[in-house]
Amino acid sequence: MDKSVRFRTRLENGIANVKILIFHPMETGYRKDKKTNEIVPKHFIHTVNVFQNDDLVMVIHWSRSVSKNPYLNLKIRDCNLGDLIRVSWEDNFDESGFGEVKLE
Amino acid sequence: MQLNKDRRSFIEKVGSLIGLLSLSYLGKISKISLAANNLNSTWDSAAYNKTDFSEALAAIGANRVTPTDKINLKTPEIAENGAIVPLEITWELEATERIFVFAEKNPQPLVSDFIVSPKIEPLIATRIKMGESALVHVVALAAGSFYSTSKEVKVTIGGCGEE
Repeated sequence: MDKSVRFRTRLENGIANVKILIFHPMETGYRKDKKTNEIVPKHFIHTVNVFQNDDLVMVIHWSRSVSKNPYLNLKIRDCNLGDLIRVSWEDNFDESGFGEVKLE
Repeated sequence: MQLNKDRRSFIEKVGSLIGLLSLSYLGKISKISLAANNLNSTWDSAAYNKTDFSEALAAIGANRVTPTDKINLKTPEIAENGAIVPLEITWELEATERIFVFAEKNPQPLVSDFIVSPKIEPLIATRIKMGESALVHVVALAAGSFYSTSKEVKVTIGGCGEE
């Protein structure tokens, strides 16, 4: 597990309200670096997988049009105390990250 | 910190899984939607690289799209900073499999897509970048048909060339 994924969760009536923040530059490839005046290469997360324990519940595809440090809010049904919400991501540089949180 | 066996094995699993492009896990959901609608469930570079909205729609297979009030898109009417435009999407369509988000005038209009399993409550919120004022379209694939709702967002400072 790395520190790229941060969670805020709330479990209510079996529904987990999950807020996810992923630290990532999400460069469009259109931005110029102010110091070097050179275009910053595009660098963005293209795929995010969301799991409840071992089950994949959602797949998200992003483009470079998603904001820097992407934010995501979703709700998962039939969750229990102690369930793990897990997130993995991959970007166009073949970098990846993973985070998990236990529902309390 | 207690690392139990299950958790450790999961982390190892995720490591190899990422290496394999998550294909085995992706398969669980993608097989269902692939069978239902022939959509590619990996990152669809053809659709994401289209520079024209109607071409991007065609690339996801949405040749016929029905406007609906069963999708609700909440956005600010005026986004001062195009680098951060918050969206909240809710829907009441039965058997929704996938939600697509387009910013019509972005250099590549397809912004994001969400493949939802039945475990997902019909709500997604995220933040996108917009280069200029434009219509934001949410297109849902539900029971094999495409439905959409749209909303104009005025952007004061464009967000594509910024952070």
